[in-house]
Amino acid sequence: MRIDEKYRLQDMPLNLTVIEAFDFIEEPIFLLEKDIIGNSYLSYLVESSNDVEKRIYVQVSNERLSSILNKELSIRNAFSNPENKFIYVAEFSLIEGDPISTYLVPANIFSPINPIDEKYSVDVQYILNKPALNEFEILSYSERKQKLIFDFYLQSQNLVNNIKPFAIYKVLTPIVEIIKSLLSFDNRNADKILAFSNLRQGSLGVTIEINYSNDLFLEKESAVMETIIQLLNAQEKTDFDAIVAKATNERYIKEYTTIIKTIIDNNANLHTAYANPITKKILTSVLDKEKAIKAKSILDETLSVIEDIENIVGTFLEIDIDAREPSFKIHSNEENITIKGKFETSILEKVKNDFVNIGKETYKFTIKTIYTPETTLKSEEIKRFMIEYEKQVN
Amino acid sequence: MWKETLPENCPPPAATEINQEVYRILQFEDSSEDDFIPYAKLRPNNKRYNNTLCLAYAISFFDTIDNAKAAYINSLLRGRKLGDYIGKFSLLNTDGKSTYNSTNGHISTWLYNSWELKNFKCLNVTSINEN
Repeated sequence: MRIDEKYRLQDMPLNLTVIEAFDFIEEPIFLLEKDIIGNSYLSYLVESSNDVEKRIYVQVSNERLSSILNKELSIRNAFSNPENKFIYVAEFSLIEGDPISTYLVPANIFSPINPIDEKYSVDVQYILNKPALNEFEILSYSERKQKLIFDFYLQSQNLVNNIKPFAIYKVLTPIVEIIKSLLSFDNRNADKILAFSNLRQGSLGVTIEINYSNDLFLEKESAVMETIIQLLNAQEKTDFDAIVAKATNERYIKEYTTIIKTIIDNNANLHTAYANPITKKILTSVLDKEKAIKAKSILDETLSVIEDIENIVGTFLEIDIDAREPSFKIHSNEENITIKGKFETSILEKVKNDFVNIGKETYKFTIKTIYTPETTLKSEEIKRFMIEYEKQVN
Repeated sequence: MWKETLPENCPPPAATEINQEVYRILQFEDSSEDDFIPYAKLRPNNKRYNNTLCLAYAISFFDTIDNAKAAYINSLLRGRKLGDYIGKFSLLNTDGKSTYNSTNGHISTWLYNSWELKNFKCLNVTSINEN
């Protein structure tokens, strides 16, 4: 196939990455490739030698790609009638993979010399808008956004047609809580630090964008995201010990326990990937039921009780000082939730002597949470104790 | 586990161990290790296909000699001669995991680390030009 030199471009304008091989017999014949902003191209091998390959490229929309893969449109026709009226013809070195020459040919010139056989077709089951993004897509998205990206998708028989609440409340929310806990920020700053994108139905897929330190290096969040992937990959006691040694609090363990229990109960698979735009690093994990059971048994054996102390700003809603175990109910202004618990005996006198203004004045409460994970003998237990409170001055 | 260092999630979940007589295009009448080097390993510095494209790490076999010849002819039309002979082999479930395309009879096999040419039985070899 010879192309008139007048269609030759000075350089290859596309920076393409091979995503999928739809036909690979001894050599890559028919491929799906993507440019750096996610446009899809189909490429077909026209000529090859030991050192050089010549390919033709057609840019395709998702709708067009779907028609081709469903055989509603032949591959030959897709190249003869491109949506944007142009075909690229490119030669690549097979040694390095670098482009050698590129031509941009109008469809009406290319169509008569289209080398693809009319009967050429491929049998593939390629899912467009897959809930699982591939590594290229995640890293390229991270680079475009210049943010750390934590992508996850939850796969379960229960999530085929729609998203069930457990996916949101027992996987997505705990993941966000783990990020908040390890990065030590609360809901007041959540909107500045986190953003959700690429929401995918058909299983649940979500990309979480993180920019905590707001600088060029993203050092703290990089370390935390690596810890989270370590946690999701943990399968030995030593793995958990290493994570506990790094973390400043243990609240994330409670959230992690919720996630693994949910995976076990729903026979789900949790695929996660973290991409760093600075280091170009990608770390991944796949947590399935089998791994979740193993992780849970280690947690049950080693971490019998988890303690966490946190400060909550809010108001008193109820105080029952005369009960056998004096109790409280408070409202957190930051999280907009109600928390119940018992007063620790050391502050009982203070509570009795203070004229606490219920429902109006704002206090900083110091709450100790004791979390006992579920075991084969008993269900999980969360006990909260108020160990200090302090009136906030406006 | 694998003869080659494979990209992540490779081979695909659909790949299975198979016991089947298969055909492979060979350079010479006597098959050698060189006939079983995957595409990616032949071009280790090619950034387009290395580290990500799972199929570039597989070895191509065919279910029939006719499908092997068809692939040979198609490749020849693109200017590349894959070899001069077609060998018939007995692919066992201990050799690796494979995917099969029933349309063109093509089998992609990711070999296990334990695979050795000396144990890979070549049942017969025919010259492509003789047929």
